[in-house]
Amino acid sequence: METRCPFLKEERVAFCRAFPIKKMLPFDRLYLKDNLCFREDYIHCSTYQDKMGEKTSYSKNKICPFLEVEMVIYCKVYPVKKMIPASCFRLECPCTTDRYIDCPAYERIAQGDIAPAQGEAINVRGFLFDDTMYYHKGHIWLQPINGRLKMGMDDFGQWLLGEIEEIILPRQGEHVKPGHPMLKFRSAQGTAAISSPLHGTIVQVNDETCRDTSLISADPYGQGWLLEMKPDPGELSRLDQQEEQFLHGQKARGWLETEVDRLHHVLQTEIGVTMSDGGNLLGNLQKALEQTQRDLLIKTFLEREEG
Amino acid sequence: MKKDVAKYIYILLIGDVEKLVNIREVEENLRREFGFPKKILNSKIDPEDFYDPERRQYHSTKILKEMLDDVPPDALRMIGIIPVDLFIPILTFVFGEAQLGGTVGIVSLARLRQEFYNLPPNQTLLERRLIKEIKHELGHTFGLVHCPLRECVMSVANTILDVDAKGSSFCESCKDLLLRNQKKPVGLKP
Repeated sequence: METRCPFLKEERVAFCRAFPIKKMLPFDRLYLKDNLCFREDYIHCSTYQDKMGEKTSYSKNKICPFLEVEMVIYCKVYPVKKMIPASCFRLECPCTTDRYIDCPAYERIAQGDIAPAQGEAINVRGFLFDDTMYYHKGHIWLQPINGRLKMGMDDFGQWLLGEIEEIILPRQGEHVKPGHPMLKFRSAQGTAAISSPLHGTIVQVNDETCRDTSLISADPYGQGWLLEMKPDPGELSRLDQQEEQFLHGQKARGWLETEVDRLHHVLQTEIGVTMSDGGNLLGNLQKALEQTQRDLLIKTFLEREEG
Repeated sequence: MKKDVAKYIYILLIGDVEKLVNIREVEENLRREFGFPKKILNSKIDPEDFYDPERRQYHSTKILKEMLDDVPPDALRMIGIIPVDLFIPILTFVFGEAQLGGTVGIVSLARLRQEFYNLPPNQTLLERRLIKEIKHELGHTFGLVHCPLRECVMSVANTILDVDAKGSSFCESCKDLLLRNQKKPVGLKP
């Protein structure tokens, strides 16, 4: 048996000592070469300048003196990610001894009652992205749990729909298949009928999300889940066999980045396809686009029929 | 009569650009990356015609469309530089926009200036940022799309920090595509 909890995670993080809020960023996700804090250009950073006042014109340091790197430790499955500096961690805590099996969080996961807490959702081109999920190209995420599949709408998909007014979920026990509508959304942007990415039987639906549709935008990969399916025999293995249909990890991330650029291709202008640099996508497309353009986006990005 | 051969990259100054940047230096810097000779033109376009009072910004795509009417016959590509803040309908703002595999592109100086962020002016930084954005938009006109490598000038920038963080040159793969596409006529499929 392990002598420390398998969900105990150590991570090197970086943060700015000068910034009023201590925002920890995983060190291995920083682009070291390009990050301002790691280059002599840090003297142009407004936080650095505020802190240093008049003494900002030159510096002997190659990297920002306010940059702090530290090792932290946290529980990967506990719903709230509480990071503790590794140096302060008490070695006799249950996580580092074989008593971890008594921990309530570990126990629930071991029994299969809950899925491991979602991986860190990171920001990709303005959208939350959870790299532990599989993504169908119709912007449905899929999470295998004990032979079943939990599903929901990804952050890009819910953004395209805008404020969701109504969700029509399939009935429990209903058999669904690709090419046939499984979910229906009515939103400020229009209506969307989403087909199932796989063959299977619906075993559970999230009524809470139907009652409070804002859960999808607030927590698309968590509380905003939509349904759980028992896939037909052989269907589950398609997740790993059909990498082009069911994207995962880095491939999914690259795909999401391309999807953002594809918006420009779909929304052709009078002068053809244009591309731009800068800015973030508007939170609400209703004013920015005509109804026909919004319908086109929903049809192109969400109503994909292939399984 | 001999037909004009498109061989120049035109830099079109829309508004009081020269008060803000040393355009000769920008031109010299671009010459090193793009072999084509440059010509500088002052535009008659009035940005106010493209002002959106609701957004309090200027519609980038509409200005590009207007620029298309002014493309000289010997222009291979034309990049506009404009002092005002630009937008396209789905984005909060743009540093620049260009036709993908087309003729025209535009770069706004507004958010490249330190003053926009209530910081003291910095001419060197402004010109460094401007050159990156011109290269980026010219890259689009030569059919290049956004590059996932942060060190490449074709990587996407959401904020000014991203502009500063990205490299000022094309990565090897974008450079190869750029060289190939430079030989193709306008209207190429990326």
